[in-house]
Amino acid sequence: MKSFRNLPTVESLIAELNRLPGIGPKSATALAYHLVAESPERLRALAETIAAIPERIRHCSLCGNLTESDPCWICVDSARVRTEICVVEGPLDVLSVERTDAYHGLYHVLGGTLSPLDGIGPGELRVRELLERLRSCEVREIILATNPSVEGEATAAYLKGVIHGLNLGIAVTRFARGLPMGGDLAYADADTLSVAIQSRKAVE
Amino acid sequence: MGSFGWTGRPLCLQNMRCVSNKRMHLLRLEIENFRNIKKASLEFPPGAQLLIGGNAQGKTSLLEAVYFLATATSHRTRSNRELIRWGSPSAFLRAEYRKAGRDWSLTAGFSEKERRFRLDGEALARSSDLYGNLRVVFFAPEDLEFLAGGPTFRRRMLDLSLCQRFPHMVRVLLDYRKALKQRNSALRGGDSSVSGKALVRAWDRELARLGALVIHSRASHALELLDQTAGHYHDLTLSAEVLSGEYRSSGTRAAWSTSQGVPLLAEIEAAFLETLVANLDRDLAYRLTTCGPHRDDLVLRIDGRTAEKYASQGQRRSIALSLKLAERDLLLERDEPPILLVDDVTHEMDIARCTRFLEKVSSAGQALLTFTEEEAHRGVVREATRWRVSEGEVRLIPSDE
Repeated sequence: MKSFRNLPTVESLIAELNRLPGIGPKSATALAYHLVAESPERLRALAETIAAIPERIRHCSLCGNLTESDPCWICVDSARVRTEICVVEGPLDVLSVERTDAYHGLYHVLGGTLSPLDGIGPGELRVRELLERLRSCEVREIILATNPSVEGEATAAYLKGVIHGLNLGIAVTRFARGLPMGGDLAYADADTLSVAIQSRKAVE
Repeated sequence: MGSFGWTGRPLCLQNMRCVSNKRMHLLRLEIENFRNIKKASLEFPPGAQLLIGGNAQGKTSLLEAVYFLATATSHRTRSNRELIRWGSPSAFLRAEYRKAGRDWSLTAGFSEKERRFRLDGEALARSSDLYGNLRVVFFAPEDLEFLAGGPTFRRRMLDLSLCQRFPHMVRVLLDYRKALKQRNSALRGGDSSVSGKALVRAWDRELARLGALVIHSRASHALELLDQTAGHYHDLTLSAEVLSGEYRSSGTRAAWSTSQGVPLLAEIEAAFLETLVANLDRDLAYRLTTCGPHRDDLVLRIDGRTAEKYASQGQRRSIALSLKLAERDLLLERDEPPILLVDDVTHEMDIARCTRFLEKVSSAGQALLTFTEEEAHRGVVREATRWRVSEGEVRLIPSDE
């Protein structure tokens, strides 16, 4: 970035923005110039919001979801079904499942998936915390909702094994995989279709 | 495709009369800074295209450019740097072709670090989306090594043609490779305690699911290929030798000699999973997954004897060429004839065999063939257009020259 030699502040702003996901050097430069043109009040408001993140937002000590109060609003909600825990990879997944309004149990956020290639084992995820919750609570069903990716499937398989090993008689289920709603057979790829065929159900 | 469909050049009526609607046909090829070619623009009339020139003049690079547009890979290198002309930061390729009765344009732009493909101007998100558009069969001198190249080379060749035939297999193969790498990494970091084993076994089900898809489709493809190969081998050699073979699946501890003999997908998955479980201690000791489609092989036999060990140079050459002709047959089953790229393979072939081979090559679909000056006279292909390739420059040879 030779051209920014005389604007070190802009240069470091671009470098910071460039670190965000989905923001390449060009977008980062455009955003930086956009910010430079903003009013000092708005810039201060933005800076204060960002600065408040580390002190206000934390992980729920029970489920690991993002929260400003601990335990989080879902864990303290007495209307929730406390015998079901839905295990997801990240806080964004909680948001997705919540949006469906089809699930009223509790959550457990792992904070990723197993990935030995990246040095991520059970110790790097909230697995121990999940097992402790299972031992101390009245949980009857665990719903494994990790992504249907190679790593998500392996994480689900691993958790299933560990939970069965506890011998607590907890049912372990997994989100169904297969055809998308409103999808068309002719356009489904063979991999998706073969999973859909394997996991077919009797018509009710 | 959206409204971008017809933004290309208007259809040429002259060409339409000569080229059947049901033939994939490369109309035009543009190259910038690819290999030793600074700039080239070739417009292909119907019929075979003969690229004539000395060694290292750029003949192979022209074929490689077409192959790269079809598969996002090169048969000679994995690095972008080697594909870009020395001293240039990036390279650009563009092909216009007719398929299913309409014209398409496919471009590839790449620098040292990235590659971008566009179909009719629309960016293709992944290079795996490229497969199935422009379809080619490459007859390269390297392919003559099918027998000598070892199992890794054979699997790579089988997978490349499998992906052109069934484009969805690109993603399955990539996912299988990812699951395998993860499991191997777990094996390297693991121990044989109960919890250590659980961390390895976590990958088994997904590895078995993806692996079964690979085994099933690759084995069926390989054996169908072999079936067609035997016929071509007989035609080329005019011998009574019987070509046979088997696909050896290490993951299911089985071998199949006909595509009908390949078990159902679910059976393969169950057998592979069983092998993974049974081999866990051995895998932990070796610190890698010792069985699976990444260890499979296609073994060929001539009159019952292992071709890899016993075949003569001539037999090897004929087998490799027959395999490629078979690849064309299988691609043809699902679509229009693919474009054949024939690089210098008739070299050292006796005249009779060469003629029979060239007849087969020019019998279906468009072919681009390279010849050295000395070999050019052997390229007795009817209705051929001749091009001279010299020091990275390409020009049309007038028909009276």
